[in-house]
Amino acid sequence: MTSPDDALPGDGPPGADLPEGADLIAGDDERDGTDSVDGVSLEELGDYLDRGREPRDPRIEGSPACRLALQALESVGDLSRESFEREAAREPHRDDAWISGLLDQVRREVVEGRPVPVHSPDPLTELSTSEAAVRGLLRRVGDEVDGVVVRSTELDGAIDEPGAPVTVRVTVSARYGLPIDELADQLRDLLGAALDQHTELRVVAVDVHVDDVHLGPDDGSTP
Amino acid sequence: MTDARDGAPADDATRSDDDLSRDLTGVLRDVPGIVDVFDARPLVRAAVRAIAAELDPDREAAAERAALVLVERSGPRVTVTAHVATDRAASTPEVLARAAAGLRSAAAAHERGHASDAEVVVRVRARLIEPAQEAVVASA
Amino acid sequence: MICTKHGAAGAAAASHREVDISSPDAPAELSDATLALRAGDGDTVAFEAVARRHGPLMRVLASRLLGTDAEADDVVQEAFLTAWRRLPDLDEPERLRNWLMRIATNKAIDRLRARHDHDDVDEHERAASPAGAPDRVVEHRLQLDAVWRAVDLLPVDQRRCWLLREIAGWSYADIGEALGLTTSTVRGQLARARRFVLGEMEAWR
Repeated sequence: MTSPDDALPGDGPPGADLPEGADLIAGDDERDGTDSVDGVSLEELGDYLDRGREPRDPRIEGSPACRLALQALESVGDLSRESFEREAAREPHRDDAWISGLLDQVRREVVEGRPVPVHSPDPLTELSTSEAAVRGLLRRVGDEVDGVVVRSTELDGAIDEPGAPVTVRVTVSARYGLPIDELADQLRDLLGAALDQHTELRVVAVDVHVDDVHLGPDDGSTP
Repeated sequence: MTDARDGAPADDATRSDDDLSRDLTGVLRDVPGIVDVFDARPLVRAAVRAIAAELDPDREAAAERAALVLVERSGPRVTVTAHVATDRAASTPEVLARAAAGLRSAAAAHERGHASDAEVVVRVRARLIEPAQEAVVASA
Repeated sequence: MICTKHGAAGAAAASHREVDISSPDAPAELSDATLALRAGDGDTVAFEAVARRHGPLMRVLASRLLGTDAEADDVVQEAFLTAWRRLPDLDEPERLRNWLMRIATNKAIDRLRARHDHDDVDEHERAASPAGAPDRVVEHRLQLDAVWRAVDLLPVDQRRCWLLREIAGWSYADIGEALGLTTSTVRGQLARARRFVLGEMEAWR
């Protein structure tokens, strides 16, 4: 459904100097944006840059001055994004009050999902757990396996009807190098046992899908 | 029972049910395998209680003390609803059954003590399953 | 019982370093995609990590768009609440940051509209200055300071066009719609803003 817009703060190249080509634009006294480079207006150059330089304009690409100017515009955009990231990095320790208020609200809005009934011989006693609780359990159990980080969980079937067949699906990230089949087997066993321990669901299948890989502690790369 | 003109009977009954809710909350905390108790009462009433607390802090503060089990009356029936967290290391169905038994026993005793023979319905839901240690830290 | 074998595990994009997921610090190490999926799954701990990771940049952008820090805080809160409700529907969890920035920017724009802002109305509401730059003369940092100050000096409409284009990455059409300007006006405002910022940086030197 939701699809974010195009690229955002990227990693700009660190500029050593004033962006090359900047003097072509900033060189004179006119500061009202009407100046031009090799006959191409600044508006046009900006528009061309913002379009991703597509479709290719031979008039602009054929002019070294224009290309330098485009480079300057791009650099200053990169610098501004970087200056914002830097400012954001300075931010966080202002106060944490905002986040606790937000989390309180968020916890109140946790979607419980369907009720998962638990049998009681007494007709005046109704016992249950919730879909949210069971999915939280799946995440917790999956995380307990070394090298596994759970990404998402799903309970497929009429979990609110006692005895209905249910398929459990879990997607995880696995540490690079671990044997996937064995990991999945181990997970299936543990998840099955946990469901048995905490629910009366009739689980007919536990699907484990490894759709992501992460690096071990020996690798020095940044995440 | 008191005079209908001053509305006091409603207050008495309400206080009595608040007492019951508090009692039942206490019962839950003593059930092995229950690691936390959540407020099962509706949000609208919570807002009203908050406003009342502003107006008369002492009375409401006392009344507010840990009364998390929802008590609802309708005709000859009283329904008590509890929302809890159960221990990761335990069996949730067993814990729930144990909790329900404790609640039923305490609610029945309360009704007898108030000359009521209302039928008691007990509902317990585990909304969270987590290790006992985490629950302690969270509520600290 | 299905198990999907992840054949060329090495070739798949590695998303994060090894973490002890049970440690309270763990969520800070996880990739945006994993956090987005977990938070969408209902994990409030993962959501907290998302808020801490991306809240600051959202706040900086909102504050520059709106001209006040207080309103920026509100915008960020509202944006995260919206995000919490809509996370389960996020198709591309790896684009979490872009998605969050878009929500925050939209909320900030809504506030601008509600204010019926005009060019010179809130000139006095200059956003807070950046924290002091270090004394060490490091060319790159001074460049960042210069561009930051330059953007701050822009007239309001130019600054907003600039922010929406350069920081939020919006199209001219979206910028125009948000600010009530034609796309050609947006183009012109951007040209002026770029001209000014480059000029300021040149002047600083």
